[in-house]
Amino acid sequence: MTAVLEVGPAPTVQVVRWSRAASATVAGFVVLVAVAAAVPMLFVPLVGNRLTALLALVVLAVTWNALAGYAGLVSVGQQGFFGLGAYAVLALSDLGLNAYLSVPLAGVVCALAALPSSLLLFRLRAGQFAIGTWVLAEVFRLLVSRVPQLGAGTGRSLTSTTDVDPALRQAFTYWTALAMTVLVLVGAFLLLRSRVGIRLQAVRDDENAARSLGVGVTGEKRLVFVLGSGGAGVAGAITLTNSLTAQPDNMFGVQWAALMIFMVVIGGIGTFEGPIIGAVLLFAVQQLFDGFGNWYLVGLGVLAVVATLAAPRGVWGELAHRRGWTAAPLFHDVRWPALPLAPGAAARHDAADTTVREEGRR
Amino acid sequence: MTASLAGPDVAPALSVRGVRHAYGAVPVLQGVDLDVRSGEVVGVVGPNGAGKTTLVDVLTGAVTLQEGRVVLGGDDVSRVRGAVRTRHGLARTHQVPRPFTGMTVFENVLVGATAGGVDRATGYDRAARALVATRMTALANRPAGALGLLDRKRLELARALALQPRVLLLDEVAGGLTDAETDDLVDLVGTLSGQGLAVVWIEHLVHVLVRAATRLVCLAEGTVIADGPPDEVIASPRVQQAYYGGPGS
Repeated sequence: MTAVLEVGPAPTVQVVRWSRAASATVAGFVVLVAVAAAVPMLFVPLVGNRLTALLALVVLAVTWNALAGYAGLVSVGQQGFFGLGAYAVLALSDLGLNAYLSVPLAGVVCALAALPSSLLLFRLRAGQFAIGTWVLAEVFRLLVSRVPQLGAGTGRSLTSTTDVDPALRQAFTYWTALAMTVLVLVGAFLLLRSRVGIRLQAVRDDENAARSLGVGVTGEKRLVFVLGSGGAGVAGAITLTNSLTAQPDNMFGVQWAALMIFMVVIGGIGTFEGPIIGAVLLFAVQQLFDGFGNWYLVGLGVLAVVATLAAPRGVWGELAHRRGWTAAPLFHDVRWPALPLAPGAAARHDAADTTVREEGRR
Repeated sequence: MTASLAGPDVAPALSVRGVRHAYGAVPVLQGVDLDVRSGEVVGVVGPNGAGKTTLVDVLTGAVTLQEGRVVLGGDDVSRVRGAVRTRHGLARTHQVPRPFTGMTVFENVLVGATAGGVDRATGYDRAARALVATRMTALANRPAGALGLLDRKRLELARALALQPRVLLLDEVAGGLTDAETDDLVDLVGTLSGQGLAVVWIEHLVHVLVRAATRLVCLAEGTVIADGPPDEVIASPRVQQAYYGGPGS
């Protein structure tokens, strides 16, 4: 069947998928993780406590962006999996499992719960899907509220780590959170850089056109929903091991959905870098207004208004759009060595930036 | 599949048999039969409401087939989902271009080029060939959302060709093109069919099809009322009547 397209000589194409900026990003990431890992040994435990909260936000933002920004699944019910992850840690600890090992397992539990949920939810489209996910989150909350062993409606504490020295406990929690964040970031990056990533973006932009090009659509969406919900569960598990108490109305609260949307939209939906920036910005506002009570919500509002007016694509979205910035190498930069390049077809990355080349056959 | 000049003994690349389709109580297709062989360019014309769009939907699997059969290269795909029909060699373009606006032109083409789990190098090669064939190489790194109408139409074609299909379904691609652009398109389709591609080209611009098609099929009121060389079909009294309402002159 290959005869059909042999119009003229076989083209030589170079597809560049790396740049100097990408090398800098990877180097910066490694250094940042190393420094972050040393934080509990250098600073007061309180910093570790707060940074753990930041890491949970990063995981939430990155996984929600994978759903909404890359697969077109605008869920406002990821707090269902967030809460489920938190309660999974409680349940697993009751079964005698180490609380820190329970964190990744809570992610697995949530991914497994997302699989049957997707069978129901994927019958819904767009706005209906969004509402459906929210309903699902409420169902999870009501179910957990019925279980006396988990503290029913009033909530419960995680007691399996109370005999550990508080400073050490915070350090362990923080290191667990850091490891999970690195796992989520690297996993999301590899997924989006793979051919699945291309298919996901196609689904996001136009489902029917994607289908006509052989993309199954539902399978791709389900994969992201399952992995993304696992990620939300990990964030919930981190939050529980950090705060040590779980209460259904808080853990399954829709405010988590609002924060996810806030971080992703402010940072730049559909970009890899945006949600991380969004998480840092949200964290900054939370710290800035720490101790001023509900003024924190005013701060969020001001940030949202300023961002939507000045950077409707989100902070990183604007930088990528106006300046062609890409820190994470998810691009395909095409060169045609044997063909003359038309003006305006200039690549987004300078030729000198190239460190890795992947050449097409011939 | 090098064009084995469609003898009657060769199985058609696309075969449609007794297809009927109704929306509620309204019948739209009332028993359509159509064979398209490798290397043929079959133009499908017909007045508004003849069932052209529904025929496209039936072929691509966008609607569930109610009655009849659709066979691609010997495989009965009547019950096969649209996305899976591409594996049986079917590709299409859309009447209104539907680019993936958040991706570059190359990435758009890569979606089809990597379908079916080919390795990375093969995917790049297929994408490159499709871009060369549609003369879009210079636009490879452009965001698809920034393309004008003509380039969006070319991108539709490039994405479809990247699937390396046996049957290509063109849905109203000539609308809005200048004469020179139409000439280009007719040339390209001629080149591809010369290499064995079977083309089904649905178009309301009859004069384009008269030049491009090796065979013309006229649909009216859900059935094929004429099928043959373009000149004969255009001159047929039944076709004249279907278009102009009166007896052909």
